[in-house]
Amino acid sequence: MPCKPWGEAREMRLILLVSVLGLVSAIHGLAQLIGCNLENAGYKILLDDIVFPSPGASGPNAQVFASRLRMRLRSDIEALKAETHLPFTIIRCEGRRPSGEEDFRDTLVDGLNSRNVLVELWGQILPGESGADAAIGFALIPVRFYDRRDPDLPGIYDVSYTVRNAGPDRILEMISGASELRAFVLLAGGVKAFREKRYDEAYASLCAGTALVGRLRSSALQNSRKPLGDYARLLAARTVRTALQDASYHGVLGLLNPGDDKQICPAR
Amino acid sequence: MPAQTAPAEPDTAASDAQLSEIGRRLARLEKKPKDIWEKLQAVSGLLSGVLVAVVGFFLTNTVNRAVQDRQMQFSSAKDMQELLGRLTDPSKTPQDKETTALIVANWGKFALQPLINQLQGELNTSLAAEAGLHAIARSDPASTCAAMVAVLDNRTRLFPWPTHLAAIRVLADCSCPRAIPALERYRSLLNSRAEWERRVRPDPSPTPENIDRLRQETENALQAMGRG
Repeated sequence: MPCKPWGEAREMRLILLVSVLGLVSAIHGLAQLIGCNLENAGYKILLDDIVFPSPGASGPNAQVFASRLRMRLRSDIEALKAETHLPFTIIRCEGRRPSGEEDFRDTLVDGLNSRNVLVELWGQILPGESGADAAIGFALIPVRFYDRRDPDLPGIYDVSYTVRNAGPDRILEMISGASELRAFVLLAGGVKAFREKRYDEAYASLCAGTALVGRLRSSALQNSRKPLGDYARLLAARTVRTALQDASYHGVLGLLNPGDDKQICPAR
Repeated sequence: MPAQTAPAEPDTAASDAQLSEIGRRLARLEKKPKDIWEKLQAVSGLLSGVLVAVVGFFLTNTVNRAVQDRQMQFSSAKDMQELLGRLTDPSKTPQDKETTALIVANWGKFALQPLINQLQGELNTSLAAEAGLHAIARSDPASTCAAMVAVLDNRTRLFPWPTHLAAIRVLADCSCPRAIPALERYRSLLNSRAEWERRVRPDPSPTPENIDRLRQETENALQAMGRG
């Protein structure tokens, strides 16, 4: 998002805050975490419903927008798969609508992690006076499972996208071009690869994720950028250390010194 | 008239001897103590009656209990049917399913098998079923322990690895010493992947992370029983 003068930026933040509060209070009543078919093997990304906070809000244009948003997210994830070589499939979970962090209890996250879910995402749309506001929720399942005791790493992030005087196309472009989805998939994939001793894949994903986290634009993630970035770097260093100690590993990470910060995920 | 001869005098000495002999034998018979077999013979009638009564009582009790158990299982299955339907209903929320599973758990040991079967359902159903099993473990640890050990010891690939994982976690709640050998066997089995795969349903296929998780939970369960 480009820098704006203080007055306009403040007004945008107020609009954003009111929108998000409205979304949260209205959506809470619609939260529904019904089951989804997770039985096929391999990593998964769950694409849940995109919902509207109130029955009256879902006019035909808004419905079309929701469908387009879902399709855009799906195609972005497919592109990410080709780019990162992470072996995941996209599971469309009809009717599933998490409300937020409180839905992701320890037992559920444990179950999702056991079934190799990397990221779960869902969305809410609040039609505005001009254009639409969209909020996308992300649950990084492996991060939430393995680091749930870390208060700085909730593993669940809500990102709102709103642009004044912009149409649905602009919102879709914003969401599609945003770094959040790529960063989160890379981080989650890196954590899983580390746990499965696929060190090269883990290191590559975590370093790519670290770089993207540093470029996250959403103000909702302002306080999470540093903890996520630090987490990814530390785990990348740990990946190198663990690989060096593993007698069966003979890859390129053997050339790195995990004690030298400059060698771990160097800036490009 | 021919001369009548006097009748011969009887041989009294021989008679006396015979009589004495008879008397001595009689006296021996009268004094001889009864041996064990004679005593047994005397009470055998009473004993056999009592034995038949006791055996009959226990057999009848056992058979009655088995029949009652079966009847209870059958009527429980009928009563649980609607609740199990809610458990598998994809439109129900996780909270609904957990509440349903806890109600099913009130049937105690008769709910064990239905809940074990639900461990293989979709995620929300599986989590709810596990919560139900934990509830039964608290009220009837012995029956729960036996059922979970049977899951781990099964050799016919009846259960997938998530069911094994749930069984191990429930065993940790039971804290029953008789599960220790089964858990130790399972721990050894995990070190032989080929042997382990012969016992576990192949779908869903476990990742190395899943195997590590099974190992970790097995150690946790053994530690909970003081044998880690």
